[in-house]
Amino acid sequence: MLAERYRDRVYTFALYNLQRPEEAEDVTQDVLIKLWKHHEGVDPERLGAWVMRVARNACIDVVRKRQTYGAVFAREVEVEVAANFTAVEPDAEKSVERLEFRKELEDALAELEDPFRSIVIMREIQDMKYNEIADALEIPLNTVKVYLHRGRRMLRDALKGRIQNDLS
Amino acid sequence: MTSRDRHECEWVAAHVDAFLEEELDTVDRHRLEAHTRACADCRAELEFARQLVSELRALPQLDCPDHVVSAAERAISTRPRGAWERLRAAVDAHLAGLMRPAMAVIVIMVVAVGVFVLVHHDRAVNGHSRVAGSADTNATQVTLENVSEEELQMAARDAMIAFAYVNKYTRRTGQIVKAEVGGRVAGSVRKAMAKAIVEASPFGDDSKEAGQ
Repeated sequence: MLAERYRDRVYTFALYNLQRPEEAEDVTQDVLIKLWKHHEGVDPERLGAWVMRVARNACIDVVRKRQTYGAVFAREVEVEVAANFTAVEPDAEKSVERLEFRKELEDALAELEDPFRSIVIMREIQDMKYNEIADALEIPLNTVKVYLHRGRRMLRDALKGRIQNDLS
Repeated sequence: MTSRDRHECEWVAAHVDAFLEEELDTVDRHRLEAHTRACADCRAELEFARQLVSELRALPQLDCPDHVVSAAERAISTRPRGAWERLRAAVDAHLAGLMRPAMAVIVIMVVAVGVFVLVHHDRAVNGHSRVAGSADTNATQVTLENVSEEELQMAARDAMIAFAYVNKYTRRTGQIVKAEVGGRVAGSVRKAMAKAIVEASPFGDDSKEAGQ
């Protein structure tokens, strides 16, 4: 079933993008309904990219409607990500350090502008291929690579700033 | 640090991600490796870039809650599926706003058509108006019992079809047609009802003479 194939992928993208579970759930539901409605008109080989395009556009619409942008990662999501993470790390102190770094990373990711944010999520977190990302965002493949590198660099600069602020 | 060193550091910073993706050609790859061996800051930048990619790729895939999928399935199951059902849904949505006045016109037309059928049937049987207390034992008393249910249903159906045409042309030309046609129909209905009442009256067409 189509919903089963894409539910987690869309939800993951939406939640890392929006950082609010309620909004991510709404986006996911809308995308699944559109998928049911329109999938017959989409080339099956490009359906994945189509789904991500719809998800990204839906996230952009949500962000536009918000009064303020760049919300802190919601508590429920922190718990969810932490639950996935701390179960693997045996050393408690290291776990805390990495968890703190991860929180900083997620906050910096949230503050990244689109399309850099979407491309970083799709490539680094969701392991999408370059051509699939290019298809989803309707931009040339070389532009995807350039934007990915730029997005990573912006993240590094943002994280350096955050870490320096934390230390001062 | 010389300006040349600064330039080289800027070059490395701009190419470190391409290096990590193995997208640099051999010459540029060697250039970057050589510089990061010599420059501690660029070496740290390269390591930080590597760590960042590693951390990003370690972020978990998240599970979509089941209630989200259930809600989507519920929304999908209440939607019309086939072309005919989509057409019906579109017509229903459009007619919803016209329902009240439409129902009023339909009721009037159904009553008028029903009365017309009754009178017409009576005249077809007797050939003249009914006269109360007539001694003509052959006169057939026309009542609703003499009009079949099927005839009434056919009359109602014809009225519905007529009104559907009104709405069809209303959609094409707007409310003006509805008002105009509705007015004409209502006028015709009023005339038909008035005529039917007169003809059904025990005084028939002599009512004017009776009043004189």
